[in-house]
Amino acid sequence: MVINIEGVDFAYGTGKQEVPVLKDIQLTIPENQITAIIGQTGSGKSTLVQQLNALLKPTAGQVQIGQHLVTSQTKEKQLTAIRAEVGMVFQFPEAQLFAPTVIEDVMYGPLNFGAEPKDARAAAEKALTQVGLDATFYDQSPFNLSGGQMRRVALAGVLAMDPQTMVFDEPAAGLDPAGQEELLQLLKDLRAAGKTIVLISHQMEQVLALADRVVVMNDGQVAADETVTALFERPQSWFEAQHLDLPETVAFQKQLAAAGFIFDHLAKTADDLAEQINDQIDWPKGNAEQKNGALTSQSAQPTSDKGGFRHE
Amino acid sequence: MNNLVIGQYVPGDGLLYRLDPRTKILMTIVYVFLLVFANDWQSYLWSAAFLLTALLLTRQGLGLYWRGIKPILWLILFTVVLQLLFSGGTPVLFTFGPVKVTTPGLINAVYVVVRFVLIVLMSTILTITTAPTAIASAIESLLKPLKFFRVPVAELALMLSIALRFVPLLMAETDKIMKAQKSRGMSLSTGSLIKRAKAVVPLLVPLFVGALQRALDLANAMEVRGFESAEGRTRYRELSYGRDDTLAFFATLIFAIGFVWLSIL
Repeated sequence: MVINIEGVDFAYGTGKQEVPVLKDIQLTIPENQITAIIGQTGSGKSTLVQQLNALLKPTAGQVQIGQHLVTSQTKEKQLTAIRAEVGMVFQFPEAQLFAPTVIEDVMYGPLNFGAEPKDARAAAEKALTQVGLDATFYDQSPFNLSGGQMRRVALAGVLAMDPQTMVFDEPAAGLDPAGQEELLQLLKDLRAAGKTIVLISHQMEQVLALADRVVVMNDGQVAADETVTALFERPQSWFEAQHLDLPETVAFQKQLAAAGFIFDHLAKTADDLAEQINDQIDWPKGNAEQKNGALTSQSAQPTSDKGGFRHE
Repeated sequence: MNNLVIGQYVPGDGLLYRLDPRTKILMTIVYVFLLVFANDWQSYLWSAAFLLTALLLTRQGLGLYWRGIKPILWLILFTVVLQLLFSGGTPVLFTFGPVKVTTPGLINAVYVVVRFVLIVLMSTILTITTAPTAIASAIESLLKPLKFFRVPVAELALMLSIALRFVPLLMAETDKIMKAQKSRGMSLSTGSLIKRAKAVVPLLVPLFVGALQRALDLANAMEVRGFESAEGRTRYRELSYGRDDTLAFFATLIFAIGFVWLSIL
């Protein structure tokens, strides 16, 4: 299911108090990919993703979500079907928990979209397993859990709906490193299962490691919409103009490139970068074996980049 | 959610913005009090004229006030129907089964609507032109005499200003939770009445949990910064009674005298 945003304007308020947030957005969210949306605070990221499941209707223009068309005139009642197809995990989603037990909370979504209680329960159990919570949690009150566990329950609440597209608004904010790692793995698993993922993130390392495409928002407009490799190959000055940080590995690689190193592709991880550096260094003869070892492990690693990374 | 005008402060620079909040509160109280006694069209007309003047002095568009009235239209309609159905008297205009609609009933209904709208608009003017903190400190100042009876006025005022401060926070929170639950298929506009009432639970529970958590956080934050008593706090904005307030006072006096005169006639 492809989501097409065509010439969308959006403004909060009306008349004198109108605050335009999105300006003439033209965007396609490709299927079965992870699309990251980045940009500084107030650039319209959250407002943009709320167009994706029609929580906000465009002031002008239209959003095509699979078979559904949303314009400013679309009736509220027609929107529920869209929400079954596009799941939304807000920032700090643990604030949405309400039910007496974990399992009931997770079943809420599927039941709303017309699942039989038996199927909803099965979906909920599957989703809870996906986020790493076992049967001992089912009958606990969500309010007695730790923050990280609450976040998992909330995530499961959306996973259980089994939407084709899932939108995450800074899902890793406030999680410990292990929790962040698991979350990123979950997103990758979802992509492998054929889901379309949209991810708002402020952590560039995350974007680099996960995203297939990146949309950069600036002042309500799309400043860039390209593959993650193409994006990070842009010069450092461009990122400064957008008030964005570079991932540390990318920044380092750029510095090395400026100092005369020649790389064949953009390193997505510190290991990858280390191997490429290793490759460049004239090792003394005694160390040739070590160099070769590094080379083989590099060639064994699949590199999905099409663009490559060539600096003069 | 953001369209709710009642109770909202809208920055501006009309004459009414410059008045001392105490003046505005007293004016509103006097106005509402007098309006309860209005019983003929002359006094309503007089009250409406006063309101319109105040409204124009806020220098806000009339659309803003219309949006303030809109959400309570149903409530108004409900009161009208009650008035029409349950006030007796003669002559009977027409009967509809067991229901009789009478001329006094009709007139009463119109009066009730006008009174309702005028009161709502007057209080809307107060809140639109006065920042919540200003209202809180004005109330504290007005309640000062009660200190004599050992009423903890300063604490009450602090509670009030905290409560007012929480209103926009809770509104934002409601909006957020509403969106989260809508994304999980919540629908408040379909199904039977019982089903709809039940549909509010996923909204209210997180809202209360969040509000309690916030209150605890705030209490802790105040404690660690050494808060002991609200008594004797100084403020950034001192209340001051000026020339404009005297003007407003006379305007209200003229209104009150006119009103009483019209009622006696």
